[in-house]
Parts: sequence; C-alpha cells; structure tokens
Amino acid sequence: MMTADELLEVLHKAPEAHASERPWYIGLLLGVAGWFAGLLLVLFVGAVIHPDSGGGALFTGLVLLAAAWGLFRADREGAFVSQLALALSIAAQFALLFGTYEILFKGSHQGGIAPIAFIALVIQLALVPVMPNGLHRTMCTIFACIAWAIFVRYGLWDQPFWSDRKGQPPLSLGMALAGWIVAWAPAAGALYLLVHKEPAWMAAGRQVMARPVATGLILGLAFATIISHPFEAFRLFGPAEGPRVGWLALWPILSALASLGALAAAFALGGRGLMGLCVLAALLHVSHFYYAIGASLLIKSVLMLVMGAACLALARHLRAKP
Amino acid sequence: MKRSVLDQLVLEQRLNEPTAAMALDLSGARPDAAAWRSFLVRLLNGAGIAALGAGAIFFVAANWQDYGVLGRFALLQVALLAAAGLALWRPPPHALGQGAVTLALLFTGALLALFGQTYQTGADVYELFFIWAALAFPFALASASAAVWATWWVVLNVGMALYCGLEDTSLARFLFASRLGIERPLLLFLACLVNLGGAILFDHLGRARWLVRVLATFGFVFGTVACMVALFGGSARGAGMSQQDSLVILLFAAACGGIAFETLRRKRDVYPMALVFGAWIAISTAFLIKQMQFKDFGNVLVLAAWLIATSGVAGFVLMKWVREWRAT
Repeated sequence: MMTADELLEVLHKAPEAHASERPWYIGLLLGVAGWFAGLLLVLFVGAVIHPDSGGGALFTGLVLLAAAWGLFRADREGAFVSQLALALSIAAQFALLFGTYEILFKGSHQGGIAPIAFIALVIQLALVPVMPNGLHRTMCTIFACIAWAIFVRYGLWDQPFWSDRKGQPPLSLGMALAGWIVAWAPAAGALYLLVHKEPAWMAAGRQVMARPVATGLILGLAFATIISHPFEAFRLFGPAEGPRVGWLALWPILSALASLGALAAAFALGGRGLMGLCVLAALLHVSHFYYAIGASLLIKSVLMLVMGAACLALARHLRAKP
Repeated sequence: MKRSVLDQLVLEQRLNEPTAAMALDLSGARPDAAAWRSFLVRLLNGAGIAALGAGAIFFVAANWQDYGVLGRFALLQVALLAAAGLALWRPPPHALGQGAVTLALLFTGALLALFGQTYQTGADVYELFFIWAALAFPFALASASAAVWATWWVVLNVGMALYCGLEDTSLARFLFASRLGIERPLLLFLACLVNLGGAILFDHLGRARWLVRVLATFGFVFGTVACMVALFGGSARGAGMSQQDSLVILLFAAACGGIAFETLRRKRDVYPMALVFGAWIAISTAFLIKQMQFKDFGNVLVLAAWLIATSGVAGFVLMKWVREWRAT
C-alpha cells in the first residue's frame, strides 16, 4: 500500500488534461438529440416494417438493440457512432415496450399504466449494465426511476383519474407519505450507498458503471419526482375534472426535499453543474407546491414557515457547534 | 481535482480501497467534515430563507381576499421596507443582505402587480415586467450578487418574451416596433442581443461563470427561436421568408460566428461552442422539416440521420476542445 507522501507525488503528476469526463452540457446536447432521433427512427421502422404483432415488434426491438450494443462497443470513446447507437437504442426500447405489452397484457384486465411502467422498468434496469456507454447508463437510470415511481403508484394503490374509481375516499396523510417514500426511497438509498462506497467501487474498477448511475440517480431524485404524480403535476394543462387530491398535495414539498438530498449527493461527488440543476429543481418543486390542490394555502404557508424556521435554527446550531 | 482524473489514476495505479479513499481525501475531491459543515450551513440558510419567503407569499395569497386595498398595499410596502432595512443592516455580500435584496426585488414586482390590479391602469403584462426590471435595477446593482442578478435577468427576459409574443394591437408594440417595421423575428433577435450583451459585460467584469452561461443560454434561446420563426415565415404570414427574416438569420449567424471566434481564441470555456452547435442543429433541423413534404416516411429517416450526424460531429468536436483546452 502506498504511503501518503507517495500518493501525493502521484497525484501531483496526474495530468488533468487526460481526463475524459464529458461536461454535463455536452451530455445534454447529445442526449436530447439522440432521444429525438430515436423517436424518429421508431416512427420510420414502424412504418416500414409494420410490426402488427407483439412478436414482430419484439424481434425488431431486439435487432435494433443488438445493433446499438455493437456500435457502442465499436466506438467507446467517440461520439459519431455512439450517437447513432443511442438513437437505435431509444427506438429499440419503444419497440420492446410495445411488443412486450402486446404479448403479455393486450386484451387482459391487467392492462393500464402499471404494466407499461413495469416493462419499462425491467428494460431500463437490464440496459444499464448491458450498454457500454455512460450517457446511455445515465438516461436508463433516470427512466428507471420514473418507471418505478409510476409502477408503485398505479400498480399498488392508485388508478389514473380516468378510470372508474368513484367512491374511493381521498388519500390519507399516511398513504400519501408512504406512497412517496416507497416510490423514491430505493433511489435515495442506492444513491446513498454509491456515495458512501465510492472508494470501494473506484478500487474495484467499476467507475464506468457507478458514476453514470450516480448521475442518473441525482437527476432522477431532483427532477423526476414530478413524474411520480403526472396527472396532478400537469393539471394546469389538463381537464378541469380529474385527479384525486387530498394529502397528495404534500408530494411537491417532499420532492423539493429530495432535490436537496440530491444536491448533497452532487456535492459529495463533486458535481458542480449537477448542484446547480438540483437547486433549480428544488425551486420548481416549491413553485409547484403553491399550485398543488388538496391542502389550503394557509396550511402550505404554515408548513413552509415552520420548515424555514427549522432550517435556520439548525444552521445556527451547526455554526455554533465547536 | 476532477473525479475523472482520480478514476483514471486509481485504475492505472491499481489502488486498493483504503488508498483510493486516501487519494480522494488528499486531492480534496471528497469533502471533509469542515467542508460538509460549511455546505450544510449554507444549504440550510438558503433553504430556510427560501422557505420563509415562500411561506410569507403563501400566507399573503391565502388571506388576500380578506384585506382591503389599503391593507394590501401596507402589507407589501412593509415587507419591502423590511427587506430593504435588513439589506442596509447587513449589506451584501453578507448572506442575510443578499437574501434581503432578493426579497426586495421580488416584493417590488408584487407591489407593481397589486398597483396594476387595483387601479386598472390598462398596462400590458410585459410593461409590468419592464417597469419591474427598471425599479429593481438598483437592488441588483447594490447586491453585487450573481443570484440577484440572475433573478433580475429572469424578470427582464419574461418581459421581453411577453413583448415579442404580443400581437400588433399593443400600443407600445405599435409605437416602438410596427412603426419602425420591426417584426417578431427581429424583436426576438434584439432580445437575443440584449442577453448576449449582458453575458459579454458580466464576463468582462469577471462575474460568476454560471451567470455568464445563464445569460448566454437565454440569448441563444431567443436567437434560435428568432431564426425558427423567420424560417417558418413568421412575419410574412405563410408567404415565404421576407428580407427581414433572412436578415435575422444572417445576423444570428454572424453573432454566432463572432462568439465562436472569440471562444476559440481564448480557449477557456467550451460552453459557448456547445450553445452555437445546439442552436444550429435545431435551426437546420427546422429548415429540413420546412423543406420536406413528408409524403413518405423516408423523410423521417433523413431527419433522424441528420440529427444523429450533426449531434455526433458536435459531440466529437466539443470533446476534442474540452481535452485540448484543459491541457493549456
């Protein structure tokens, strides 16, 4: 084992320029372009091949996925071929989702949002280790977080507002809190473990897997929490009659707290750009909390004031502590 | 030290877990107890001030109907005075002063909105935002804080976005735009120039890099939208591109060229080049969509291929610069 002095010498000699870390904004540019290209590709493939059956769509998806994997393997460092591979993979994921749903759930009574979310979750979790590309792993992690949250909600204890659920009582406080925690605690727990065990996975040579996953979990916890209540979150643009409310109104504030947790994780992992995004996410959640229906503005106001006072008192206590 | 350098080093040197932990600590990459405490104090202070501010706003909104006109004005004016007083007591860069100036900036807007709502001045919403920006300018100037400046620029940009989106019936738009023959794409481009000018100014003054980036992003969003509106004949109402539309695209291209030239000369931050690439990928894709008739699905493949090729080239070139500029 190296001594501290030997290690310091090695650290001083380490050339900063050799780092191949991709700045977040380049990842964002590539990710958005790749995602749109993937959507266009799936439209094209769907129109040309006409996979009317689930089996056909599944086969098409697997072929596209294999092509994407091959391209990622061939071009590990570059962006040319990787971008094509990303688009192929996005198209493949849509085809797999469609094909699997058609085969397993079409025409059954179990159809709906939950099975779609579950299939998406399985696909994303499988692709994280399979696809040898950091950006792809980050995107899969974010989508897996979203899929899990939607599956938990609509699979275990709720139905979308358009389904027949008349007579159901409004959501209780305990159920609202438990629902949110079940949806997001796994992502938070996984992120905590990744931060805590950073030296271990670095030494084991798992950086290429763990770092993109950590980034995906940070972004998932910061932003994707809004997707776990899609019909309430976007109610401003939806039908007047719609989502069930009640204590669900607390979810945006829980999401804001999750953003702050993600901010702490980004700080621990040295992601300054991610930290800025987490602050932006927290502000978005607080703005959303204002419009969330189910609790009066007075209750929300008292909650925010109590939280604000508690935060300041805690900060003062921490500062005064020797 | 960046994590990517450490990752590479740990792999190359085959460091075990305790040594990797030591490398993280010695390089300052992993925050120690003091750094965590400082971070938590700042986080809790920021979250506390934001939560108190939001709570106060929620409280006022909850009881708004119960107050008379005088009560409403008194409430907001007292809040504004209190914020200004706090800022004078603990002036920026003290955290309390910066928070107070931010609140004063926000209360100014609330006061203006109340004035407009109570006396029905007939002013358009964008006028509220422009006056708000003008009145809040001294607060931003006094704060010397990037966060307050960012808030001020958001207010100004909302005003400009609203102004650019309005129809010709607006009096101000008639006086200042239509009479001069300025149409929407050019208005959007002027908003782009204002933001880019702000970014250049703050960069020159050595302000926080994130603020410069935020303003540059605003500028490029306006510029990209201006070109897209011009491409789709925004000012010519479907009759094809007018001379002014073509001029906007040329001017934005020239602005991008200038920014690219300066960025490549300084070799400091790749971010502006990412904006240039992103903007022109979007504009060129919009151009292709306009030119294609979509009679068959082959065009969809062409679009997908274009997106893949352009973003792939952009990613390759940008990463090349990232590596090279880190070395210099």
